[in-house]
Amino acid sequence: MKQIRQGVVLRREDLHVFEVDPTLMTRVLQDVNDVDQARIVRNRWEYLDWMHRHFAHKTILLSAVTDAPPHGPEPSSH
Amino acid sequence: MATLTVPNPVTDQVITALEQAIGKEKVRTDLGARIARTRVPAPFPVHRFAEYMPDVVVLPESAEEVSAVLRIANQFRVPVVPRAGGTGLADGAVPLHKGILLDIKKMNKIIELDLVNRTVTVQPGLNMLKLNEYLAPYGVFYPDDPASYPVSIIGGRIGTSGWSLIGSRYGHTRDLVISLQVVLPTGEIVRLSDGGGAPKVRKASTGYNLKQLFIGTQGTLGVVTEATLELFPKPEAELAAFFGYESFADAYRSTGALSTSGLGTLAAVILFDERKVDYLRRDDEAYIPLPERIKAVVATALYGVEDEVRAAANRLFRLAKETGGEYLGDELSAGDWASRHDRYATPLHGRLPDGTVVPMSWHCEDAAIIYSELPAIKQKWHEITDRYIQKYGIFDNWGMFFYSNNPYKGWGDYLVEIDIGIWEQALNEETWQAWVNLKREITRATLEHQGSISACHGACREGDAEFIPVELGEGGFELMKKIKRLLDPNNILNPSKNYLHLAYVDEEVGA
Repeated sequence: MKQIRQGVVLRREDLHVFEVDPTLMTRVLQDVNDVDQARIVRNRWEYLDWMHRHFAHKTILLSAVTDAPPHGPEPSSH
Repeated sequence: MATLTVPNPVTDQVITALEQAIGKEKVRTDLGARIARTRVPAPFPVHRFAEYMPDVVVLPESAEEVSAVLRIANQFRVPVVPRAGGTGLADGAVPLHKGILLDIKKMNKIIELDLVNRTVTVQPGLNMLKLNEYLAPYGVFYPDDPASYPVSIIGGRIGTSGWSLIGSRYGHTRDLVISLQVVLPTGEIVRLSDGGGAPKVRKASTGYNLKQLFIGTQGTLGVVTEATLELFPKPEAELAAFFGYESFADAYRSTGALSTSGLGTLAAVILFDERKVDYLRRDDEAYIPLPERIKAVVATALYGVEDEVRAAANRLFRLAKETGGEYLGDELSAGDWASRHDRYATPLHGRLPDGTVVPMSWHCEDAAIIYSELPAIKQKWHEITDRYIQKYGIFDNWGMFFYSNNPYKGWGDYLVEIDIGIWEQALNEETWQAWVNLKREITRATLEHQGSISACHGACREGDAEFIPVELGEGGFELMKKIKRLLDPNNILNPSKNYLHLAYVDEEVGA
């Protein structure tokens, strides 16, 4: 677990899973194991892909049709 | 002169009459059925939950059964509140006087698909996602797209005059409904369209345009039992592009440039203010990695045939760059856009002033405000909200969105949304009244800036409703009251919504 900024931690680097700093979660308890975490992330991406297909036959990315960079700006260093 | 009509309670005699009219299995008095239909996701005075619980739930399956329910309600003078998905955030489906809750979800059949004339006729209890799954093999699409798309229902969209995320390309609910079958409060069944009465004609000049009168009434004038809807070709392609800016002022100017670009495939332009970006950077995984220099965001989306979308993307990117925009990448753009069709799946939490996480419900202010007033309204709404947060400590400011609101075009006016978290478990009468006062201050600011109280959910809540006469003006509200009295002489249909209890009060009493 890595502190990203005040109040935010990076829990799973491989899945880009960020979480609220556990010290701020004393009133609301959250206990998700790694297997479930991976399942939730995978299902979320599948769901978003499904939503794209539901609204249009094809999703075009801006970087594919312009000289826009595919990746967003680099994060600030902390 | 009419006098105030006080609704009667639901008695055993009423229950028996309902069971005989529509069948015992469609009449529910069990606690579970009633609790589930007491509130909507908007902040709610949970300490007074029982005051709003309906006495009985009915689940009719046809216009004739709806008519029978309304005739019984008139006979016994008991209130009837229509309810669809219950996803509206302005309490339109909340029974203010208990009574009969008329749930339309069993009226969910597709009656006719007419591919030649590009219409589909449905019962109002159908969900848009389910409709589009049915339509997909035919290559057509019904493009009404609220943030509650997977769970909201066509009847509710008509009842609230819903706003669509892609409405600047395809129009909003009121633009997509061609004709309606409506059961009036007294039980008569009528067919209404854009003048005339031809159910599939989109533009007519014969007689009054009665269809629009029945869109956005919050179920105060009738119950929709059938709707004929517009069909579009399913888009070949979509493209979402999100841009970051170093100041709100830059993003605001860019929003103006993008929304007036004239791109025919442009379906939405959404401006996120600094507080929204702060909130997302705090609580949304897609935005947490954003560099600190990004202070505001503009989201755009294109829909249409692939050739047009590709060409428009070039113009869009050039315009965004010229106005200070920095592309936020394919993953954020495509992923965040897809999630915008389904915001109700997000578990809601907020922060107390010390940063501690607590569960919070979601207030979504949804005024309609013209472009020139956006910076000023942003400043005022934040000042109001922050003052109440500081004093009471149970609210959380989740920032503001400004969505293009004009059907078929992106410019002009915007759905202005401030999202506020409310820690409901901590509510008592004092803090609930504080919340209502916060709402009132926000509404006053909206009216001061030539805005309308609601762009999509309606103005049914305390804190909104009492300003309807102010927004409409004396003549306009007087006309509303006359129409309500004419169609609903016994005040049985969603009574007191839209401040229309005044329609049944002597002028001297109401003054």
